[in-house]
Amino acid sequence: MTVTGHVYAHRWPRIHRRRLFIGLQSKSVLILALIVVATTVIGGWLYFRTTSQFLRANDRDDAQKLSYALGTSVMACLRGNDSERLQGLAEDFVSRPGVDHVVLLDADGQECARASRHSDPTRWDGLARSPLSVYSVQQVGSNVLTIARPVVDEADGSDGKLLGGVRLVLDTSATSLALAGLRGRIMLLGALIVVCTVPLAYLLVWRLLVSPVRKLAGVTQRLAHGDFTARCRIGGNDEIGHLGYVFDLMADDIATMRKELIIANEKLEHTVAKRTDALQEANSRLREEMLEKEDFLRAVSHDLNAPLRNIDGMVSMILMKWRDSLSDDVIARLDRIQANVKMETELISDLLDLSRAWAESRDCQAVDIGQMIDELTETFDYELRQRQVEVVVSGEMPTLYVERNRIRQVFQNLIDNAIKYMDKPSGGRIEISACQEDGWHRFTVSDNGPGIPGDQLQKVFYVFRRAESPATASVKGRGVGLALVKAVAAKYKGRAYVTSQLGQGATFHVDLPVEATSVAPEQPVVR
Amino acid sequence: MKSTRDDQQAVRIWVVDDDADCRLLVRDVIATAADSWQVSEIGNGAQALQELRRVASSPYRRPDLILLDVNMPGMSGLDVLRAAKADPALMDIPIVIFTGMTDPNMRAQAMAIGAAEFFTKPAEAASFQRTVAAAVRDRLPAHSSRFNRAAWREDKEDSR
Repeated sequence: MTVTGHVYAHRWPRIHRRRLFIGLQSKSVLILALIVVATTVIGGWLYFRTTSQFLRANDRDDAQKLSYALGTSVMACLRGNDSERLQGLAEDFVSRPGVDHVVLLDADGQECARASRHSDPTRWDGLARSPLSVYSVQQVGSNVLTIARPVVDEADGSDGKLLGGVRLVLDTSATSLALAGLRGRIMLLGALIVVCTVPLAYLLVWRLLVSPVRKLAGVTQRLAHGDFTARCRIGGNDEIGHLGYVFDLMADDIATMRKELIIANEKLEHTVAKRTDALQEANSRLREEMLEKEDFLRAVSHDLNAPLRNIDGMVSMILMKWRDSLSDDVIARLDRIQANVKMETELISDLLDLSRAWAESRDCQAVDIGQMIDELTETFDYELRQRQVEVVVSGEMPTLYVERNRIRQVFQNLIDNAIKYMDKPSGGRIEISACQEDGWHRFTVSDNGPGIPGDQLQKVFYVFRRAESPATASVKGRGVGLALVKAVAAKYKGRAYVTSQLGQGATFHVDLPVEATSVAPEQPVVR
Repeated sequence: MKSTRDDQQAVRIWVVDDDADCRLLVRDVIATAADSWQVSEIGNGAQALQELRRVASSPYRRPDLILLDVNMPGMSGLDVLRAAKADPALMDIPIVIFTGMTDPNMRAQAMAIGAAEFFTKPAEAASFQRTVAAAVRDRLPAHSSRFNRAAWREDKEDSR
């Protein structure tokens, strides 16, 4: 609620409504009115006082002149003690305007003549009781002026002898009236001034200050609410005008910036859409390529294996149908043919696995390594018992988020190698352990077999390479198993390596980084 | 030398495979178990279908069992299977798929189309022989005499 109670064109912001809102106009008009009133009152009062004093002084001057005139005129009579003439003179004097009462005193201070306008002359008896020789003028109330003047002989040779005194009572009501009128006029003028000034001030403040400020507030609100065409267009060559001008410039800048932002945004969206499309295209191309690769591998596998199947089948058939008519040498060589075919078939299978391992990861699942190793140990159970090799698992086996088949092949190949190359007829031991260190999962498969010569520790991981040492020469190996282990480790950005002392066994290490093999939180663990 | 009547009564098996060695092997395996059975070889899917349609109406020429390879140029074995099962004149002939493809979905696919059995190469001779015998026996209950005459040697000792 504003003090002046106007209805404004727009709504003030909420924050002001909570407190008592006293508008600028009311404040300034109030102050101005106070100032004007104070000034008028003080000025008027000063003027009045000055005038009043002047007029009263004037009256006293008049009184002095009158009393002198009277004194002069009664001097001769007083000298001669002519009381009749004195009375006549007194009565003459009373008829003068402004004279109310005349009292003439003789040299002893006794009243010798008296004249008065009023019917009751004794009213004035209390007045003028001053000593004879003293000249005094007194204003009694606003309408009565009393003068007491000694009459001194001014004839030559008289030495200023006191002849008597005159007492005059003058009527100063005219002055009073005049003064009263003046006071009334002054007050009226003052009121008029105030009454005229206030609306004028009101109007001025409105035009110069409040209206443009209100307009600015309104435009600011519109701008804040998203209307970027709002401009206040406040003219004027003062600070408010300048403020309005600068505000409009700012609003222009904001509108321009917003347009530029919108355009930049659109461009960005467009670019993002294009990039997304390109990405999707690349993705689908990749998927296609992968499928093609899969098809290729399958076709290759089939076509490579078909003749081998035929060879094997033919030999089987020969052995089945004509075994009885064949010599042992022939049968032995036929067996060799079959063994070679088997090796070739397994080699093709291994190579296919290897080439698949080099391809991208897909179908990752959460795999419990511990359980997987247990399953592998079971699979190898026959060979382990036959070769009298024991398997010891230690350390905390983690759960990895990887391709199940690939990781199984890694451990399968390592365990298979350890069993295959075990040169002890009994007491063979394979230790499988795992630990987590510095963001790496570290797996080891160590055995107490023949070991690997130092210069071949790298080469064993190459395709078709096997360790060349007397202990291993008798073992049939294809040289692909470790290459696959290395390939799988590399795919998960890990590493595979071996440490060994010839004659004391070998320890194969597979390190996989934790982030590359972390379990995705929403995936359930699949066994 | 068999008589014409014997020929007509013999069990007829067709082997469809583009690989000649494969066909020879199959023939050998079947002959080991039942040497009186007639094994015909066809090297091409389209040709097989054509031949089938030709003999469909002839009771002494139509096959009692077809052993079908999948990976063949032109018409694949599955196409031949589909066509045969869609043809009312041919749909009663049992077809055993015998393929080297390792696609895990293929078995389900083939059985869904209507294959009698599905084998992958290499197949163990004994079980292959058993399956063939079972398929033919199922086909010929009314002609059990024909089957018996065929003298399937079930308990023949095999070297595989």
